[in-house]
Amino acid sequence: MPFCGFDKNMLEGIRLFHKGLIEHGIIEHSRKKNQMVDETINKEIKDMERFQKELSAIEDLEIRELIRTLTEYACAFYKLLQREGIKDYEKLIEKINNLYFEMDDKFYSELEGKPDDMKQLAIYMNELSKS
Amino acid sequence: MPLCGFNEQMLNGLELFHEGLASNKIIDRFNNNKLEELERD
Repeated sequence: MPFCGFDKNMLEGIRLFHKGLIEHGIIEHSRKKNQMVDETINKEIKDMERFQKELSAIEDLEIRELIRTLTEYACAFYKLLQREGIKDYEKLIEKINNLYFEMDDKFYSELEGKPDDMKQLAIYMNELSKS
Repeated sequence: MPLCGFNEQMLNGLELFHEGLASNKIIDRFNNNKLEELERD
């Protein structure tokens, strides 16, 4: 996250999570169900969107929020995967980790405490994602 | 995810991430505040 300060463990954790989302959630499922990768991604996204509509039934507000944001995160990740293609997914995982690391580093090494620090950080994200 | 099927790797990844969120910022910050308090005393 921009402001919690990523450490090596957290970045490794995110990498493993992304790897699982692709290798287990998409590649393995596509093989088992004998369907195209795009079909599996679309199915996963649709299932998570359907699930999100039912989340109000979860009584614990904090747990509900965790589940909601995690499913939103996975949906966003799968949409990015669709855009970038699955062929070089290892590179995509590395790219996202670098993006998070650079975002955090920029904030803590340069922007923290400055006026408009968050705005500058958001603008910096555009530069990063283009490179 | 509930519906993409968590495997062990994904759960390990989330565990590392959650541990980092708690220890990296929350516990470190708590310890730093404690040190500052002790130094002031």
